[in-house]
Amino acid sequence: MQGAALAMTTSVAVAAAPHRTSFARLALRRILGGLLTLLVVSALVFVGTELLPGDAASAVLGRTAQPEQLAEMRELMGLDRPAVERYFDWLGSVLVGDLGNSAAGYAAGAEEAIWDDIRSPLWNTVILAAIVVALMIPLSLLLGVVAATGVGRLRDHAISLGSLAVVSLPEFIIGSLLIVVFFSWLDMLPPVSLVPPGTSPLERPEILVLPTLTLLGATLAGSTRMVRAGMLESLRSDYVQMARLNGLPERMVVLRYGLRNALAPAVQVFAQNIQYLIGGIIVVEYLFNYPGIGKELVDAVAIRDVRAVQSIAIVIAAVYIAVNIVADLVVVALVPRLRSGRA
Amino acid sequence: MSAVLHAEGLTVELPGGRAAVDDVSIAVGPGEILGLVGESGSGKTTLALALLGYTRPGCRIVAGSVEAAGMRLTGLDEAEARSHRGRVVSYVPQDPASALNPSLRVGDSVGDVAREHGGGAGRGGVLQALGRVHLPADAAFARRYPHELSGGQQQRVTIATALVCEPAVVVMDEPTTGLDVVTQARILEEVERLRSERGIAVVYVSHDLSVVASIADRVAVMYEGRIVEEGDVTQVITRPRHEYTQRLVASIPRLVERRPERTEAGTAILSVDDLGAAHGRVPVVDDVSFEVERGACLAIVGESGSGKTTIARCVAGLHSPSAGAILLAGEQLAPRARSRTRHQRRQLQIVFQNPYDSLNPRRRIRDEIARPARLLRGLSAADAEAEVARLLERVRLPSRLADRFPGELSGGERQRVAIARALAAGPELLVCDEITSALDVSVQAAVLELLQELRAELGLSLLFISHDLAVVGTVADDVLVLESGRVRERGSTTQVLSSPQDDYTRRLLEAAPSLPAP
Amino acid sequence: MPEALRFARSGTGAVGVAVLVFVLLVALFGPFVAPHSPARPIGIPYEGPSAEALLGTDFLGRDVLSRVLWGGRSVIALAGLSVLLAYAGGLAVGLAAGYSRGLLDPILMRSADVLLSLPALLFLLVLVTGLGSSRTVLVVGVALIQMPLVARIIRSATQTQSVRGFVEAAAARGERTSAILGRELLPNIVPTIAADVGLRLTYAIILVASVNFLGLGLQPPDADWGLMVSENRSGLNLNPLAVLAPVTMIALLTIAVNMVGDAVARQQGVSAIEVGART
Repeated sequence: MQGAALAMTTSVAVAAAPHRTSFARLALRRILGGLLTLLVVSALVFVGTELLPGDAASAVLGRTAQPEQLAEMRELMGLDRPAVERYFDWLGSVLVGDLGNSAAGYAAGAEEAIWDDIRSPLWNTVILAAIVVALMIPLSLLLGVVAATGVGRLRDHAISLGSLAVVSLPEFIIGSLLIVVFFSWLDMLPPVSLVPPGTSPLERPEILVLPTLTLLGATLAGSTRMVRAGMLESLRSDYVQMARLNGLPERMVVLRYGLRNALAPAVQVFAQNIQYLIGGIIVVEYLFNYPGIGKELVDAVAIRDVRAVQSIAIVIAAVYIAVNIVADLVVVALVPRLRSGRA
Repeated sequence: MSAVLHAEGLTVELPGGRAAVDDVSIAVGPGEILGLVGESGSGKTTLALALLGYTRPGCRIVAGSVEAAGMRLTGLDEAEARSHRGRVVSYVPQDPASALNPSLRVGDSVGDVAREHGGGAGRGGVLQALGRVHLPADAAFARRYPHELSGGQQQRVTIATALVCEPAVVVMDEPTTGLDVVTQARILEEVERLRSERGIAVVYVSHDLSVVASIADRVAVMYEGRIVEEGDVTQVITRPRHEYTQRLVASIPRLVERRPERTEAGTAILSVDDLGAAHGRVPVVDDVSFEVERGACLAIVGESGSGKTTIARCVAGLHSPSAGAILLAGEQLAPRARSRTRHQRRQLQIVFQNPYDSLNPRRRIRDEIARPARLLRGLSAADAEAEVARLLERVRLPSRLADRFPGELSGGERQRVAIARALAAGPELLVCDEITSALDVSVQAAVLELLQELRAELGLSLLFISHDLAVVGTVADDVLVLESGRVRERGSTTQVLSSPQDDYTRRLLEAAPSLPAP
Repeated sequence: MPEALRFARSGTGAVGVAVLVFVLLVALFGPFVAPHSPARPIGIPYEGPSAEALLGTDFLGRDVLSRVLWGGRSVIALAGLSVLLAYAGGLAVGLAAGYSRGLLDPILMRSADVLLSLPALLFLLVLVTGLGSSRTVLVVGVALIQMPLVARIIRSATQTQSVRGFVEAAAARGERTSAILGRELLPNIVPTIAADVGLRLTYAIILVASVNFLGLGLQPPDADWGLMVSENRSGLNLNPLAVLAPVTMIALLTIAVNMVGDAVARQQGVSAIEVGART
């Protein structure tokens, strides 16, 4: 065959040593981006809450308030200054950790620092969220892989149909159904999850069961479907077929070749569901009367406590954005291709 | 000489019940290279997989058996079959980029297989395997990920994986399709070395008869799931017995053909001066000048990445050049098609490479072909309809196809529709961007023949882009050889292909596989 | 059966369509067959089922059945309108961003990202705080939440389609951008839209129902399924039907919409990953 003349080795392009952005630099960029987003979000929240023709002062004092009382309240709440000045003032104090005073407090005739109000509810919410996340991730991985490896068979149909149904349901529906089953019919669990002030929810774990189950239901269904979809795509890939053609054992193929490449999109799905969880927690806490930050928010909106709404919203938004960043970084850690500079 | 791989009466059924592989029996001896040739749809990949006892999900081996080095591969349970795969008989895939686990380092990919089939290979074994296929045998290379390698390197990794357990026979499924000619030649060298140094038997599957001819001892021709002819490779190609084989051999363009020299020099329809173009900041075309004479065909030939497609896109107004000028019939063309005059857009039309992509899947053929006629020539609906009928006839397609959607047509038919669509504008210059590269060889021959006829009938001028020297040899009057964005050589086809002046042109010609003369 | 409706023959598709038709009939025609007014009490609170009130009474003594028959319109109308709005805006933005080669794309997408950086419910609650809880606020709010998601999906589909050969062929013919967007790109994006609509509707319904449940959307004495679930929780031991009836209707609605949407998506062959999760 011709080719003796092809002794040249020089003209074939050998891929140059890859250029990898350091992980730390990537992390820093994401965090800075997140802070910028948080700033923009804060402006959004400020604008969104202060668009009302009337104002917070009259919402607090009610319709029977005298003009002088209104003017006094406005001055107390700082509402007589121009919007832009108020915004930066608020921003500045948030950065220092002072979230301002709640209107509810003013209505009661006292200055109540919002931060004091929300500190323990925030902690309660974190506990609930952490439990749900800790359960959701391994369970959805397990269910998703089980469904995908048994595609078309009974276990797949059961898991797929089940998650399709549950993922459609609003949290309060899932929660209400669980209450009917476990309280009205079985009388096993309490219908409300009250936590006496000063105590931790962990001291009476049975109150956490229904809220956890409700939130798990909502998020698990979605994640499982996505893990399943990702696994199916991964198992249909050429490299999985190649691994089988090379005689690798099926378990290694599923885990090291299949799941490993389905993990990156799965992480994104988990992040989406965790973010969704943040929204769902608001409804669940209201449903079960669980003293978390979600319930605080609903209460604040109900009485139009603008300052409280703004501050709680910023805290929640910060957590939301942080989850996004962490998920992004985990994906980059998992997918080597994203780390190299573009060829 | 006993066969090291032996398939007897093998039949593989698709989910619908149709047989993709129908009663196939082949045998390969030790150190022998058997070529398996077939076009798309012939079942050659299904057969290649079945030689390892493997079928794609939904397919089943319903009859026959496969034996390799004395071990049966069919009729076993999965675990047993798996123990043989990769060890007694292994597989090299067509597309190495998608066949390597993207999240595993290259060394681990090879190591997984080595460890599974009797271990003891360890790190040293992996490095040795890499070295044997002429990849850097060091830990740094083994730590790379597949996306950090070139296409040629990726393919060598899959070959290294296929060899690491010293199999008796390797099945290679189109291992060089998609690689450029020079890399392909080097891979073929590897395959030859496998046989001569290690005595490994190879089944080399390909649609490209010329490649198979350059490397195989025996060849089996496959058509619609059956082996229609088999024998010594030179015999089969120079004296094919079966009708299909004869057709196949006849449609392969020969590299050097006698072409009538054109006597009169015509005027230039297209004139490109000092063209430069870039992708972002990376220059891909540098100082390229050429002319296409009226009624002539100029081919621009080069490897992938040479910039030839970019030149075609600049001429067509799809890419803005960074330097230089393009003149059509003496008038300078605006960089973007949108800014050119309607007359200019009529005169210059382009046909793209991928027939599966260049027609709007949601429009009927008649509307697709009529569009340029209505937009650029202002034809009424009735006139356009008549024009569509005329054009379909001209490209030798039945008129009933006018009501179909592109999804119902074959690749060759779609490409003809694309040509008809281009002709609907009434152009003088047709830019053909690798228009046959995505087609089977027999279909390619038919499309090229059509092109010749149209040239003669309509006096079309052609700017023909290709990487395939043989194809260029059949259609072009003049040739421009492009490398890394620069012109390396130009001249009449006969002259360039039979007595190349430039070093690069010589290398291309040598690397291109060709058939033995009849 | 026309090709486009093939999804209605598949297992989940058929069941979904059947249930959806039932729920829509109840919601749209319920008010015409309701035995009592949804606003006036007809007995003592939380009475069990009787001949007068087939599903018993609610916390104010009103007929649960009548309120259920009246309570679907709001959620369906509000959710439907908001999805329409979301598509109107999202389609325009997505097409423009997907086809542009210049600065338009990053600008539009960054703006969309900003809207996406708040949890949906939080965004709605912020709006309600500032603008009150009217129907308009709900529709516009939910539309604003979904618009960036739609824009992202349309943009992605547009980008995929715009590098295809036939779009380039149109560009080479010198077609105007509007012609390329309308004649070449849009018809090939329809499958993506069809696969996405189900999810958008499901999500809109969930959002609207949830806000109503929190008492921050529609206000009493409106008859709304979400509101009813919240109002009647205190009487779970007395007349659980007052909660179960609206719960069942909402569940049937959302499951049916999602099933139909899923069947349509599978018919289009769009993988679940491409269309995205519920968010």
